[in-house]
Amino acid sequence: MKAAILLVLTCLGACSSGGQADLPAIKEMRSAAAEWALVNREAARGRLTAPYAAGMRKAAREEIAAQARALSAGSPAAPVASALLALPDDAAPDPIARQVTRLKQIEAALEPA
Amino acid sequence: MNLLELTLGIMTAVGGFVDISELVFAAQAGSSYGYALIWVFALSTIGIMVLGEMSGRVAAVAKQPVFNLIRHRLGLKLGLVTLIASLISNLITCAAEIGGTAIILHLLTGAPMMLMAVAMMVVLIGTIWILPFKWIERAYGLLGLFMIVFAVALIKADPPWARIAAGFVPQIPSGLPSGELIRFAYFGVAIISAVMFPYEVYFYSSGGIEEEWGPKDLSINRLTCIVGFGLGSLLAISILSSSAALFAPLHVDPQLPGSAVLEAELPMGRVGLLLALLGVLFAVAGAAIETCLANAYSVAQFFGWEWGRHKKPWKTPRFTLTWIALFLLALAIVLTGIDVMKLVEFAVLFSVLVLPLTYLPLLLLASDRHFMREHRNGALANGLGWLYFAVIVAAAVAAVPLFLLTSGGQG
Repeated sequence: MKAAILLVLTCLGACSSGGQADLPAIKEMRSAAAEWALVNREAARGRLTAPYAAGMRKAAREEIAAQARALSAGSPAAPVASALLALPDDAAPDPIARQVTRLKQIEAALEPA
Repeated sequence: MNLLELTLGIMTAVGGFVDISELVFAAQAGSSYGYALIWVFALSTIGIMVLGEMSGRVAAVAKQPVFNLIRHRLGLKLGLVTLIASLISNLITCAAEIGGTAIILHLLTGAPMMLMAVAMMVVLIGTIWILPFKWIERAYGLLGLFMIVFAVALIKADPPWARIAAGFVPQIPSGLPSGELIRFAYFGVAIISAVMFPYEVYFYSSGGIEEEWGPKDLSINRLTCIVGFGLGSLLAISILSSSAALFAPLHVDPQLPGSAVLEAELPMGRVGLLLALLGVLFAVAGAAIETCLANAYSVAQFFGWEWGRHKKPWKTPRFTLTWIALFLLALAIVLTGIDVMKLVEFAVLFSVLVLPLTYLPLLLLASDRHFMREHRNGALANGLGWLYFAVIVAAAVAAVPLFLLTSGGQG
């Protein structure tokens, strides 16, 4: 009986400490990155003011960095976060969007049915 | 009926309807669940129309502001619990509004956010100190009409109108995994809370007393609540719908407080961006004033102090010190650097818990033949009042479990 309880607790612990526990952070990171890509796309078209673009880029990068710190060790999203944070503030939207797609794929794989 | 007064009252209600919580939850609801949560906005808007009208009628006929009623109908102990809970709820909401204005000013000017929070505080305190009550409310409400840019942007974005119309029918999206269903429910509760914030009723009914409403003003009260709140809600629904049409395909669930204005920028360019920033700034600044004054009204009414902005600030010293102290406390919360989005989440959570205790005494008095005479609730107002009381009790019971299960709506 004790062994069964231990097994269940271990499984629950593994589930909540690993992949699915990272899901909220990955979603927030994906959205912040998507917002960053959108801002850079619109800024490149000359449709944003400089203070707005700068403020939004800074906020997006801070959000990505904060969520990256919340990821568990070995999370598949960690390399994506690193790749995003290595990009310059005014990076072209496409490289950011590629990382958004990667994060969306990781989300889909972790999402419970 | 003075047509100018009526028009200004309605326009003020429209411009002042959307605050930081509605902005955040409408944008996130649209990107996450498409048009499926529009009906919750519509349902909650009818609720705030019913309860707002009732609070205005009670103020006009019985000359009773809401916190007088709470103390007398709930008794001292439960009244005090309600007072403390609503103080916490309004204080967090006020801090969220001030933080929101600081972010918008930062995005408009590039100046540091904390400096902008302090500057905004000085402007807000100066506004309340200098302007007469009617113009405190109107100045920000009318300037908040810049928010109409969100409705214009939605039209320009040419969204799927049939799907928006279908969103008014109560629904739960099919095929959502269990976690997303719980999050959908959390958003439903958060929208009810954001639309029916208790501070709106405290402020509205106290405003009725400030402006010395009488039975002759009941038609203006009714029209302001129905038309003003109804049109204001359409702005919130525009924000949700634009988010569904423009953000969802780009995988954006607006997490950053400045994101929602992109809904106006995408179809309208830089002009849309600037108008949306100004609209949000004034609407949220107006809400900061309302939450702060609502708190000061509550405390003064509960303890029987002299209160009101129709009197000079030094004639009501305890009331004046209370609203200034509450503003400074809210500013202190912002200056800790806490995430404004977190403040918004806590604000809606606390508010929904306070809602039933706010509305019960109001409902009881609005139906009271002795106080309200021929202006007491009719069958329709009573039926809707109790129906919405049941809705907010259910929302209050569900709020904390849903908040914990979804980590504040994160998933």
